[in-house]
Amino acid sequence: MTKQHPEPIPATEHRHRLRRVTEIARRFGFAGRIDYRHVRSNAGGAQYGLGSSVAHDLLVIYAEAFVRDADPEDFSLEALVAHECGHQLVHRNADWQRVLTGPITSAAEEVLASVAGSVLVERPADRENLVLKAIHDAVRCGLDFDAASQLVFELRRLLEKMR
Amino acid sequence: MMGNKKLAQIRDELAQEIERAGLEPAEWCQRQLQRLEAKTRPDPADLESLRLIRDALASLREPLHVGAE
Repeated sequence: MTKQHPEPIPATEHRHRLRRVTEIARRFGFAGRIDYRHVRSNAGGAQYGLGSSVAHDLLVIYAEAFVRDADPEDFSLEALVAHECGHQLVHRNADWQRVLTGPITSAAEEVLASVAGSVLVERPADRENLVLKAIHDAVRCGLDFDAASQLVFELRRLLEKMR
Repeated sequence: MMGNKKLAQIRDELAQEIERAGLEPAEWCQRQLQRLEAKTRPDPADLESLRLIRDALASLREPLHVGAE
């Protein structure tokens, strides 16, 4: 991924990006405000912000999300948006709240958000890539591969049944 | 937050982890499948999730562009 500042884009391209991001996020059920900012975030290209209510939640997509989307060796824009929508599900979905029954660590939330994203996306490649990210993050949390795969499998089957 | 790590790097690290631990993902999937099939009627959602994880892990042995759209 480039470390440089983003190249300038015309206003029409800015609007096009915001429209595209909004269409994807709404399709995945995101409720709240959506913004596109043509700056480097150093956050991977997308961020979810928990608001005072679901209507005040915020999804921000940054310039590098489009750089990543154009790279065949990186996550698609759909996968990036789905992961952030997964964060909203973790915080806002009543069924999930009943299952989680309390605060979770940020590392565990990242695993959950990727698993949730894998339930939201339509393309098989995006589903697989988000599952791999979830297993990878679970391994980084200290689980061995076997336990990480088991955790992601159990979470995903649970989430599928909640849909 | 998705983080800055590229998909290719995540795949490489996961493949290395599997190799380092001397694990065989297909065996793990087979064990899960047998466990599900031990039920009288496995839930289709369970089988679908297992199939996805099996395919995802199998894709680690393929060049990235094959699995991506």
